[in-house]
Amino acid sequence: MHSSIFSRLVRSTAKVAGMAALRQAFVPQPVVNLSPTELRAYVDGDDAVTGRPFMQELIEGLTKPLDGEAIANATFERSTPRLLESGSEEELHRLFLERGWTDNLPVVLPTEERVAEMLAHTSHAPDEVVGHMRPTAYREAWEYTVEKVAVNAVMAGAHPSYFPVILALAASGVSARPSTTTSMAGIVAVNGPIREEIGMNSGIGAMGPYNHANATIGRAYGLLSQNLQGGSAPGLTYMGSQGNGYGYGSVTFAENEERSPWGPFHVEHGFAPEDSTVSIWVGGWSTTYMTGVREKHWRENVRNLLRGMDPLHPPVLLLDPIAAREFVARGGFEAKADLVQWVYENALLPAGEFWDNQFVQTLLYPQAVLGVEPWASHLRAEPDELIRVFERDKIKVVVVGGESMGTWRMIGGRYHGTFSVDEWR
Amino acid sequence: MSQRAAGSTVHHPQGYPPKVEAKPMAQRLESLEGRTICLLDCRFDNTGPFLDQVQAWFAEHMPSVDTRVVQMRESWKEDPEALARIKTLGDGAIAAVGL
Repeated sequence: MHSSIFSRLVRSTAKVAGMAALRQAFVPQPVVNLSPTELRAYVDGDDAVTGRPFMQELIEGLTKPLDGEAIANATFERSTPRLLESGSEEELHRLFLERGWTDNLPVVLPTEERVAEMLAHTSHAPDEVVGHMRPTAYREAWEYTVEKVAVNAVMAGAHPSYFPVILALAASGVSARPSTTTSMAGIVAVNGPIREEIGMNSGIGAMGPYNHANATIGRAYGLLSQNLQGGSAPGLTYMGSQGNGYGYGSVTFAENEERSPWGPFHVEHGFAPEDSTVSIWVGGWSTTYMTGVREKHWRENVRNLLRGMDPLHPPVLLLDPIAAREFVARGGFEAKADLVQWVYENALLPAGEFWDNQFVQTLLYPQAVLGVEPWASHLRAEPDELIRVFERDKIKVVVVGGESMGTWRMIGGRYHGTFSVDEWR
Repeated sequence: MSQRAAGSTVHHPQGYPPKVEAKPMAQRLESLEGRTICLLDCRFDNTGPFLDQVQAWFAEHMPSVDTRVVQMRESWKEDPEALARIKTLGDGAIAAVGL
């Protein structure tokens, strides 16, 4: 049983899971937040896709013989050709758009010459398998090679010298086009010497469309995600209800290591200063921002912002160097870890509010019942007892910005790791 | 598009999908009369109350059908124990989500 908005998705998922004959019945969307009376009306009503009585669909799903043809054809191979048949530029651009291979902005056509030039900027063989990716946990993972990553890098308009960074993003296996109903996007911070080598921006406008490397690496990450995982089509392999503008460029920037009062992000995560890395978050659903760290009420200001964050996506603090130095001055945070500890201790919600969150109920409540901490302790708390919303090691701090003002923001995002760029040179 | 038009040759941008292997599916029942049907709660928000209404429908309209709710440990994760319980308890099963 599903709600109707997912009908194309669940039929497709059943097919690629080898169960094309699977029976499915559909109630209207939504199910969440409806009363028992409203839910009973769904049960007594018609299937929201077929228009036949819902319970008749359910009973026949259990009793009617399975479709023999669907069972007979449940095993099948699919292939992806290396090259497309030739065409004029206009025809090929239209083909790419119609097949859903773009982000609906013009792309650079991946000719053999352009792809070869991209491939010349890595020591890895074109046919080496880079990884596997899927839009969500319940779909099948697709495989891709160095050459396939190069094709998408060309399409994004990336300079070939950016290719090791793009390969590192692809090798993570983390999709920047996840099929979450909450419209999450990729977020990428680049550290180490590669920033200077390819001219990335960590200063004014770093997270906006003001630098070729930042813009096209982020775009390449989005394009390779949707194409190498097998699609990102609304209603089929993408279910973000509102979508997310962060998806165009995957919020890709370089950390401003030189102007930060703290050590570089990648060094905190096990790399040497001379290593080059990409760090990936998936999120961007919740964002709050502030100008400066005020002397009198900075604590209250930060606590207010933290209350606005989504409990399932820990805050990534993105601090202009001015704001970072102000945090050191105001709070005595000589290390990033000190600031993280303060955020951990001050991101508080009454337990009753925390548990009355749809995704907290769906994803964290079962873990709490199973005894997983800290959720189990949170579940034992009285409704008005303040509990810590985030796990300490999942709160992150990155310094970025050009010091035109001491602005800073928090984006909610799940950290998926820091990955070597040097391995892909 | 004309697949034979003169012009550029370009790469296909998509990755490589895995082979799809058929999974064996349970035989359908001739009738539900006197059978036990498990309702698998996948734990999306409000699935439990929704399944309560499905159970109520069976109780009112097909009282010989014994319905049992089996809850997954967590949403999004395989739960072999829940599936084993269904095999032991039920003649058939229906899985439900609540989004």
